[in-house]
Amino acid sequence: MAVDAFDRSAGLTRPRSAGRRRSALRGWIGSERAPVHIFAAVWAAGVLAPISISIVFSLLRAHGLRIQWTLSLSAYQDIFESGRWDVVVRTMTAAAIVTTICLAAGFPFALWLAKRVKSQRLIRVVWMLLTVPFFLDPSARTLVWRGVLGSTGLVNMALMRLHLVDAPVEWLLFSDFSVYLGLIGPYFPNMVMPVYLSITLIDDSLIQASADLGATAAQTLRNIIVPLAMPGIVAGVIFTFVPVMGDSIVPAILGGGKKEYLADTVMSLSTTMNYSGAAAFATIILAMTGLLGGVFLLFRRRVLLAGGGAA
Amino acid sequence: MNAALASARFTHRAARREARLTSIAVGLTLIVGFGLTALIYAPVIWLGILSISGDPLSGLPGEFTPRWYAGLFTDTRWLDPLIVSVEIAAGVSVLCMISATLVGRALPRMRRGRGVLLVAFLLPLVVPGIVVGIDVFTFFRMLFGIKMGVWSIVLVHYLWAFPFALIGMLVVSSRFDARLLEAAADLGASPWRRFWDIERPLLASGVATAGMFGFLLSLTELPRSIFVAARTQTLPLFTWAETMSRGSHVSLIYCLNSLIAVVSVALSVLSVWLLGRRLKS
Repeated sequence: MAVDAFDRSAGLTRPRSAGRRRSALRGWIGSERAPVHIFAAVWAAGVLAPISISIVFSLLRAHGLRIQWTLSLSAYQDIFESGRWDVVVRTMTAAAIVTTICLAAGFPFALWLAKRVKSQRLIRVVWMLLTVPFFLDPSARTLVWRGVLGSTGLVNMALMRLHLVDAPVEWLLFSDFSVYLGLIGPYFPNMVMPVYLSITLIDDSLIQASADLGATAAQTLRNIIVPLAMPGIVAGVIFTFVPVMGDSIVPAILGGGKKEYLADTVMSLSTTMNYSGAAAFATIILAMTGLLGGVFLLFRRRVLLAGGGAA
Repeated sequence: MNAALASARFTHRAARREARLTSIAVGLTLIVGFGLTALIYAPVIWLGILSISGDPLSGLPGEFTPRWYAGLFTDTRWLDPLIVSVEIAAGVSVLCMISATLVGRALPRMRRGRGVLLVAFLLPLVVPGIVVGIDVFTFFRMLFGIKMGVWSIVLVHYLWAFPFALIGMLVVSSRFDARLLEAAADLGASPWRRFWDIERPLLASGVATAGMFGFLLSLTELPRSIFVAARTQTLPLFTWAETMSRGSHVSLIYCLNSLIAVVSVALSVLSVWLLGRRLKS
């Protein structure tokens, strides 16, 4: 009874007396929910509103810092007519390739970490190794690849020393290859972490039961682990695909201006003060994100339904 | 009988083959997994090696010398950006500690709207930095005509760091046993006393983690700052400008960022360790 009252008010001081609006308000002010609600309102105004403003802006025309309040699709028209659609396709391809590589390597890695490693210390060390990259200067860690991949760099020197090639391999740097290479490392943790978390939630007894009933490891993987880990896999895909798609640092440093990516375009549009064009590209990125988010919700619901069916 | 024996032998052989396949799969997994992790660390270690090499621009180490580090004392253009960065990072860190504590302690105990609020707070995790940068600029500068400056850098850093700080806090606060507060209330402790004597010590590692996440994420943030910095220069912006102009000061950049990387690694190891220790106890 006391616990129930505590939960209901979540404010400890007093249980909410039914139907009394005024006392409900007074309870709200004293409660610990109040700061959360106030913060949420500030968050919506200062963060969520700006993030969604590009959708509006992409439909307006802006000259410099002045906005013309007339609706127009010309920003999107420009994307098609100026051949910038290429850029969208190239960026999506790059994001898809990098995400696929991260998933192919990250899922087994997460499975190993969640179900095979027994030492808590090892788990913590690996977790730490995957956390640190979030705290490194993106341009500094990317810049160094130039020295490694360049025509006088480490890789080419080694290849020439070993007489595997006669002349430096040029496509190593300032190419799609170097951009992919620069993106894979930093975003690998984004894939591993959610997949790991979803696999740790799978009860070991389910896996044991599957083996006891005569399923091979492959069958258990396909019928038990992958479906139950699906929300984590989709979350991992989102956490990898979306930031790779929007990364502006790696393509600028390792693409060498030869291959333009989405973020390069957004940057150059904003330096020429074509803000509605930049907003249109930002909207495309957001739309892709929303699409992937929808896929995530779909999978989550399916897993919940399957779980409900089993129970 | 014979058939049963044959079938048993078959299962046995199948099991052995499966065990062999599994160990091959695990081996491959580890090679690829740690290989990709190495893609993160190899450049950072290489950065450190090149920073003590005679000719870092050649891309090859050799003729080890401390002269680039000595150069940090003669060419001090990095000092102002560093001070700006540390000041902003300290501000973001404090904001993260306060807000992550306020929200993180109450969120697990809320009945209604918890899921929606969590999604709203974690949303910036899935919005690419470049979109945040351009959107904050257009929203505040173009729509409201407010000039960009230190405040807008703090804002974009904060909205990048807050989700991480909140997660750090929730790791601790979601395991907090609310009955402790109830017991204290029954014994007549005031709300403030309940917070200070019970919640504060138990949530302290979450608060510290939130602060460190905020500090580190702000200190190294670049893609969002590019759009909203106006004339303010942070250290990552300084590095970025030097990198893009292919200036001759790359050796300076190498030293500076090696030092920053050492500090970042030390602080993040410390914060993850703090969280882990909390969970164990």
